[in-house]
Amino acid sequence: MKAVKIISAVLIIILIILQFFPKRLPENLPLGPSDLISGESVPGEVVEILRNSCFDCHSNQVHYPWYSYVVPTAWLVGKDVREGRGELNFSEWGDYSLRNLIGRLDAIKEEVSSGAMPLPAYIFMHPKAKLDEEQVSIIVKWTDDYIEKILE
Amino acid sequence: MAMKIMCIIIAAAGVSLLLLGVMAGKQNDPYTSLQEQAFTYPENIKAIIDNKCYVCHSLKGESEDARDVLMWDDLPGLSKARQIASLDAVIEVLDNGMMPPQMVVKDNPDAQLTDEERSLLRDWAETAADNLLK
Ligand code: HEC
Ligand code: HEC
Repeated sequence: MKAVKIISAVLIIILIILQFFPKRLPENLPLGPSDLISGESVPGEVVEILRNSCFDCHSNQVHYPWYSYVVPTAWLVGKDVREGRGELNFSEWGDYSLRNLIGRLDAIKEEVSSGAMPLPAYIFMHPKAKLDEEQVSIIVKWTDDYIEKILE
Repeated sequence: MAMKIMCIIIAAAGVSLLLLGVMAGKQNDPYTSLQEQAFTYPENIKAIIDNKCYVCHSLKGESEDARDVLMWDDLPGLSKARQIASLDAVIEVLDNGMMPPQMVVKDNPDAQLTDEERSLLRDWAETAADNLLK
């Protein structure tokens, strides 16, 4: 019993100390001209899906949940956002070359059809972000049409 | 006479087998009927790929992940969009140094690309992608 108390106390103290470390959450920016949703004409339902399931890691408009303000979960969230933005940032869409765009669109199609994205951990915390079959086919059609438009 | 007929039958069988083989080959390969071959690999590029990438990104490759993402033999026969996407990924891994994988390079420094090889491969991939986009 005493041991449990001591361990709990130590854990709590560690957690409190951890809070003094920097949270290292990537910064958000206001919508700019390069944002996918301000530039291109994207179907409303596509915007809806991307905003709901992808923007929290692949845009500069991340809704940070409460646990992202607590270390150590802050570090995990921060890492996902940093890496996610590095691979694909819908807020930098307008800056991508045509080659980059096709690469991204092809990858989006692949990740969404295989169910690899959104990340499982994110779906666990945000069950509504999981894409159903209809949403997947909306995204797939959007990527196909978009690529076709670029190549024509 | 019998000898001659035998020869004809054997020859005919051989030809049909060949034709069947060609057709079966066509059916097995989902790409040949769809796309013209958009590019071939120049000798120097082929040499770099053979030496530094091919062990993994070909049927020889042991890693399924590597085979899933990139097969150099199949690349020229893919759809235009998938070719451009693959070339884009190649350029990306050359720029960020992700390939060949660190783990392999650590054990065998010769597996690493030289700066010259890297820039040759990158320039080729960029030009190939640009040509496809024209
Ligand atoms: C919780 C954060 C998170 C969410 C939500 C998320 N992603 Fe990702 N995504 C990542 C991370 C981290 C990476 C890079 C590491 C990896 O590939 O696993 C990534 C990589 C990608 C890649 C590049 C894959 C590659 O290997 O080329 C694509 C494309 C992608 N995500 C699309 C999406 C789409 C589309 C959605 C929404 C349906 C989405 N992601 C939702 C975090 C996320
Ligand atoms: C030792 C095996 C090995 C060698 C050698 C190798 N690769 Fe890879 N490559 C892999 C594996 C495994 C993956 C999948 C990694 C993953 O999904 O994280 C991969 C993935 C890739 C990808 C897809 C990356 C992405 O995120 O979409 C590209 C492009 C690539 N390799 C290019 C190359 C090039 C170019 C070379 C030669 C310079 C090369 N590879 C050499 C094993 C290898």
